[in-house]
Amino acid sequence: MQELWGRKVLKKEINQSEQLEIASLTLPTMKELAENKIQCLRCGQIQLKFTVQLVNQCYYCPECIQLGRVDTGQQFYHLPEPDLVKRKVSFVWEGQLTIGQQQVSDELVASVKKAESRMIWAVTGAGKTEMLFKSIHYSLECGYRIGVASPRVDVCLELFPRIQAVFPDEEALLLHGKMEESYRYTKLLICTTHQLLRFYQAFDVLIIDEVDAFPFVDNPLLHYGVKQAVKPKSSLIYLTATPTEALTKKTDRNELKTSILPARYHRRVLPVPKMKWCHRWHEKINQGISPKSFEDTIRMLISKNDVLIFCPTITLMDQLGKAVEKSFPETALASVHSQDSQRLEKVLKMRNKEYRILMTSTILERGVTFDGVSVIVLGANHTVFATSALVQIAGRVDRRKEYTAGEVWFLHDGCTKAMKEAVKQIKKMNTLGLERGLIDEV
Amino acid sequence: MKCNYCSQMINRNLTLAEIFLPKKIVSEQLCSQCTQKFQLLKTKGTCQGCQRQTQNRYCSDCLKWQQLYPQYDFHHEALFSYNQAMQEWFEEYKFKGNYRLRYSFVSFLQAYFKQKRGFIVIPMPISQERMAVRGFNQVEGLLEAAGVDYQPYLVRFADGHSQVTKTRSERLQLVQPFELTKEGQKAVSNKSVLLVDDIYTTGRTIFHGAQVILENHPAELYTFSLAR
Repeated sequence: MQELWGRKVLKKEINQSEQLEIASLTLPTMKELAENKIQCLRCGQIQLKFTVQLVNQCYYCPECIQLGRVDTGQQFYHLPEPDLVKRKVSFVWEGQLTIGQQQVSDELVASVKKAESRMIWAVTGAGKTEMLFKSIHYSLECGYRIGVASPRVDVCLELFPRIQAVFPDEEALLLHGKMEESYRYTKLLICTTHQLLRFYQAFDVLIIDEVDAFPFVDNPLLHYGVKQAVKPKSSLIYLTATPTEALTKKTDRNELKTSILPARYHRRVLPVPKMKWCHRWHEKINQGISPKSFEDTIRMLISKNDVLIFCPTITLMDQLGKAVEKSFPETALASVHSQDSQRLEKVLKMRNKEYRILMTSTILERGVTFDGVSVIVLGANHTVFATSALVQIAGRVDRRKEYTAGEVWFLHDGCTKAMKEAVKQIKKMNTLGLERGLIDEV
Repeated sequence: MKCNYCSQMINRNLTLAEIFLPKKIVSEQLCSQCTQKFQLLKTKGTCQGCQRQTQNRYCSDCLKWQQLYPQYDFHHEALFSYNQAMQEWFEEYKFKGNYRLRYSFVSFLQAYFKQKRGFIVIPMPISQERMAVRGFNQVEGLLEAAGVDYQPYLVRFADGHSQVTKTRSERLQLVQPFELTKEGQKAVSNKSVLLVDDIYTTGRTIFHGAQVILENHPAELYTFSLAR
């Protein structure tokens, strides 16, 4: 029975389906919207009927097929969440929130009490997870069901043990596409945003980390999933360091309450990116030459810190890699991208300081912390570097307590709006942090 | 236009024929990256029976089949290698049931079937149980998408598990699961017949299908699969 509480799943997704079939409610899988259109009620996407008609006269949804095919020949099985029961939940956390974190944490608890939504806009490396603990604890004691979702599996994998450690007696479940462990009912759940598509009116509180990250951003399917997964009366919490325009607009119109945390816990300003002209970098790299101003920047930075180099495309990175190797024969270096099978090992080696230079595509733009690094974005004017990407990349520097004078350099041959916007956003946060007394002036 | 398989945007120029002739514009195709992943099979240096890579005239499998079916001049053709990418494609098309993917290889199939005009095309059938779950026959889907006329003369009795879960020796021991319809029995005699399946692995299924057709004396019998 519990297996179906707050879920909306197909018969093939449940164990012991015979017993559950009798006891549960059934919901339709798809809804005809017009003469020629049909909507999937799992992912909300609308299809032209003739494009998704099967030979046996059923219709199916191609958009969410990776989760198992939804078609009109089937039904969803569902049971509503049980009534809330207040309880005691042990909470073990020794850490101390900074003044800024404390304020956000309090605002968050207030929102959860009122069942309202809120965005937390906290700079990169602000310590977002710690600010959630109190709200999670409050929710669990109220008997609420609470979910923490992220578009990125690696974020989920990192969050799960941290949250589990703080609530040692609470049964928590980690859900993502690549896991073997089967589903069971828990009040506390950490999952990827895709998994939310299997829930229906389940959560009293749903926290979404990295709302601006791929694949959640601009993905109507996942947004529909979020709406389905929460109870009609619930609070939805968005966490981000680089909110999308849609979210900031909502804030401006007072439709979404927002807490801003403009400073890191170590009370230093965010490093502001410095711009440097790098003439015709694209052509030069294509010819197998690494631009001189780029090499000069590496030489300057490497005396103090390791260097993380962001390249716009994998092809360019491969060509650049060979050239850099020639220019810096003595230096341990590597390059890594999303399709690299040794991705995790290489990142670990960089963390352990076995490499001095790591070249990467945008995959390392978020979710990773290296000690003592400086960052170069080569070809910062390339279209893959949107404002949010550049702010995230700049946020890789100076995340630890010890100061190492890490720097951020944007190398370009034509400043883009995204670059200017990124610098503006970082400066704005620094000003705000100083005003609120969350940053120590040097 | 989007890639039929990975949904990535494709930009392409219309061909002159598409602009000037009253011809349908091709709107479903694979992007260049996806096309690269699938490997077209070679036609030279392969077994005369089943197109497997071999130095000899016939591969060892076909020699065994010749002993079992001495009267049958077996001739099988396939377009693609059943490599990792193709296995993943079949996983989504056949097992996940994404019927839209029937358009993925349209241009390749059209080119192939153009050379086979005058043949009676018979698709490999699936059982009614499978049909109820999947909602389509994967072979008929491919043929329909490519605009190939076919005749569903072959029918399949109920079966238990999918072939994928069986070992090679288990597959080879299967008993005849097919039968030819009355109409089909009349239609194939003295005609050229092309039996079509989706994947060729051991040949067991194809030979079972071929057997019931051969009993009705076609003029010639060829077999074809998308992958092998």
